[in-house]
Amino acid sequence: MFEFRRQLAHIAFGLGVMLLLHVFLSAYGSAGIEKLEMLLVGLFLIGVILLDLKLKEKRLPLIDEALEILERQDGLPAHGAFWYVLGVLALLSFLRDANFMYASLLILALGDGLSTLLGQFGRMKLPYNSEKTFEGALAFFIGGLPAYFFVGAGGALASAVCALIESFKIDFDDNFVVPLACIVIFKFVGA
Amino acid sequence: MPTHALLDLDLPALTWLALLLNNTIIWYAVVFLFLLVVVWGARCRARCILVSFAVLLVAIYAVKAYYHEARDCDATRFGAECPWDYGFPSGHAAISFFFVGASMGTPLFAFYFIVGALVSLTRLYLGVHTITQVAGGIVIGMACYYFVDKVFYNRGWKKGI
Repeated sequence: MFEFRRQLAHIAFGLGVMLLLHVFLSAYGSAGIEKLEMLLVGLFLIGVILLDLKLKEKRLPLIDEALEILERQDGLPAHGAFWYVLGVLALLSFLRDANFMYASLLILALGDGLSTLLGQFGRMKLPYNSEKTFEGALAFFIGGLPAYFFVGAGGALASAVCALIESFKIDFDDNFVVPLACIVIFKFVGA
Repeated sequence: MPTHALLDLDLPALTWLALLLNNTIIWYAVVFLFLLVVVWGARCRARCILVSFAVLLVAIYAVKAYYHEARDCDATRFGAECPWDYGFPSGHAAISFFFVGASMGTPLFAFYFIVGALVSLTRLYLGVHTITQVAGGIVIGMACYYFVDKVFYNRGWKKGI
């Protein structure tokens, strides 16, 4: 139940940013991306202050309750959220075309979210990583496939490569590794 | 067409501060690096801080060279020189947020955070960078420290430095 809630929040945040991007682009044209970046930078700065307070073991009403519901209790407060927002900010600033931003956000939100959500029920362990399953990697790929509708074959390629990267045992947060991979792949295909 | 969000503002105190930060970022970096390493890093993280700072400088110029995004020099204000290098990402924002990331969880954080936010804000105010360029700088600055810390020193996010 905990992981379900957590991944639901993960998917909702990513899709929420996609929706905001659409709203801002409709309202302000190409300047909408910068307005959204400004909003996310503000959000990120508030998050950094809260994170510093958590690292100093300060008690934060509401925030603590939210973290208890949504974050894994592995001793590192809010690290997932931190890398998620930083990853989204990286996508918006390093990619220059709104369609590539939509595609990357979709892969990050749906691909990564579904992979954890469905992967935990999988039975076929990956030969190179016993912590992840084939079903999880497949769920990532299928979850990210709608990126095709934004950028064509490059979207499907990005979804496949990100699914593969995510399936490896990488000692760095997925929420930043996946956007980074999307940026590199989309730069190769002409973003 | 990129926009510079703060071009309508004209505050003498902010102009003075913006020009000061514009011209002294290297000294700021040297002094702050010294402070961070000597005051906090000497016990455990001095090497990581220095290595990640070196990685950061390489990353900034590598990304600048890759994107080769020209600056909008017409937007530069208050006599600030239009810098010679490419605009994306903002090196000032990257360096100042590197210190924010490296000082998280320590008593130095509040100071570095205020300076980091002011440096980023004044890049927009002077018109030498767009929001996208500053955001790119923040991403690189924050990510570089934790990337080196995690990948090369395998420590990751711990309490303070």
